Amino acid sequence: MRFRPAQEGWLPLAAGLTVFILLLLVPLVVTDVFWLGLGITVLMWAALATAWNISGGLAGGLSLGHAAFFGIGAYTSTLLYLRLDISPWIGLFAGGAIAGLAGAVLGAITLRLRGPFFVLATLAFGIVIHIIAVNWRDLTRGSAGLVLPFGGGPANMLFAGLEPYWYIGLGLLALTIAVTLAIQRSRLGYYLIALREDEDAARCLGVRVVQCKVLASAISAMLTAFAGTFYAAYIQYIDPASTTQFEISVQIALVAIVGGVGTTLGPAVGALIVIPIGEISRAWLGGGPALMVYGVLLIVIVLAAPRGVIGALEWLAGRLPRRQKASRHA
Amino acid sequence: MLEVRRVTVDFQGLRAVDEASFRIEAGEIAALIGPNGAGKTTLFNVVSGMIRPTSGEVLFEGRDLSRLGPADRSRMGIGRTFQIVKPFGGLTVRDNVVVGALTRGQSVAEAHGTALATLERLNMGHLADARAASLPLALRKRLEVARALATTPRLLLLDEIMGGLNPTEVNEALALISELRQEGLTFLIIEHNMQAIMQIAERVVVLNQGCIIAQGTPAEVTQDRQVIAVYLGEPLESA
Ligand SMILES: Nc1ncnc2c1ncn2[C@@H]1O[C@H](COP(=O)(O)OP(=O)(O)OP(=O)(O)O)[C@@H](O)[C@H]1O
Ligand SMILES: [Mg+2]
Repeated sequence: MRFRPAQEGWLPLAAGLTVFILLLLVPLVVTDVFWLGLGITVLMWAALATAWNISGGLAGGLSLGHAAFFGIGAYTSTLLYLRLDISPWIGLFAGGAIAGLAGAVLGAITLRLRGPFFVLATLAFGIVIHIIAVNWRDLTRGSAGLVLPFGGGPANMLFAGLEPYWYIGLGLLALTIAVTLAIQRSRLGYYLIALREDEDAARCLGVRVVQCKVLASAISAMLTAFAGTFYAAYIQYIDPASTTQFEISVQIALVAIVGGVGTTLGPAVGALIVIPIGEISRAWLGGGPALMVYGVLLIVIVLAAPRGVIGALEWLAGRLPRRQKASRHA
Repeated sequence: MLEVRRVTVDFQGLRAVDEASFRIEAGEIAALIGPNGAGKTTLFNVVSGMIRPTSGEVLFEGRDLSRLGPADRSRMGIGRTFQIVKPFGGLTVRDNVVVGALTRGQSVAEAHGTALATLERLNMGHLADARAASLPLALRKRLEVARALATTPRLLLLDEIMGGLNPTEVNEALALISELRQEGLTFLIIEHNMQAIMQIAERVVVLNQGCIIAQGTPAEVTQDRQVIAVYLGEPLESA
């Protein structure tokens, strides 16, 4: 269930491409605004959780501060657009760069921290960014939030319909998964896994801890910021409550954990389960009751599959052949 | 090649290594022996950079290593195994070795080739795809050696790799060490199997309660009164 260096093979690649092509066709079939909107939200959270997983799963530190990077992405591209008329398509990379830098610094600071101390450090970092977003009113307008003007046009990542956001969201998710796969197959992937398995042994083989963890943290932060820019362009309104708030950090980690930390596709699968439960129960039941249903269902999932959905599936897959063998002998 | 200068290591009041000094010349097979708790592994940890000595320094090919961590020392050519084995348990045997090869600048594909060749050399080729955690202890020890070898070290520190091996396996290990020495590798070996180590060691350093109480050729050391008293018990009949 944990990251292992990826195995080569054309079959997973073919399967992946097929799914990708099928997903490209979704807007042709799903035209209802509610369902397509839900699909776009799932794609965004899938990308967020997959990005989180690069530091949380591969490098092995449970971060509860990723909303900070999400917020940095959302605010950077939005402010560049509102203040300097720079397209969010460019702001995307500016936000990614700033978040990447912040991720690198956070990675360097939290390098030697273990378990709860690591979690607390990332949590504190998230809170600092949130406080800045709320209180630096001259820049962010605080909790009043920022509105992206209507009619910015495709050149500014602002569209009238939902379909373009579906495709951008899909591209974002494909990018985060591709980056995850590339890391797994690379030197960095081997080093991160080795460090997580046994840091002392890895160091004595020449693996440089600082480089690896800083790089993983920066990549994870950058991809998370991309999703932030996407969110801002999609919702066309951002405020601290919807971007830098602690709950966002929790949900990013939660989605990944439900799907399966450290697995390549687990975080995306987690989003496919968690986000619809949350959104649909909110739409049908409204506020309070929805939150309860959402909470109870999450508890059930985590109890039923403590290693995530992918972990549970792998466990099942591991048992099936054995059961067949056993029955043949019986 | 390696010079340990007046190295002292204190663990909260316990002096594990006390002003230890010795040198190893390039191409040599040196043995580090002594009773349990003498400080042998601690000395390895100092040389490989896992712990900083309370005082003293380590020089490798004339360079002071004090400011370098384990990764840099490994990249300079110091390889080591761990007495308490530390496999990357969730990975295959091959991927364990790949990590070592990768740090020498090989591409992932090249590193896979190196890993397989290294495993073949240690008669572990058939285990390449087994999970490291599934190996019995003797093979995990051999994996320690394979991983370290894949980093192409010039000095290799082996910490009790022969414990638990049968006589045939011990002879295989000795043959491999001699072969690698022919290829230019220098060894510092911690071993309790005196019969075995005295066959190949050219220099022996004896540690007792953190102090070096004797060093010299196997013949000199095995005749040393103090060494016999604290460690060997009775003179060894030559093997
Ligand atoms: N990290 C540590 N913290 C505290 N004490 C330690 C530590 N590591 C080793 N020691 C102590 O230092 C002394 C030397 O230990 P060391 O492991 O170096 O002995 P050794 O010669 O390798 O013994 P053995 O032959 O049993 O492996 C022992 O008394 C040990 O308990
Ligand atoms: Mg020891």
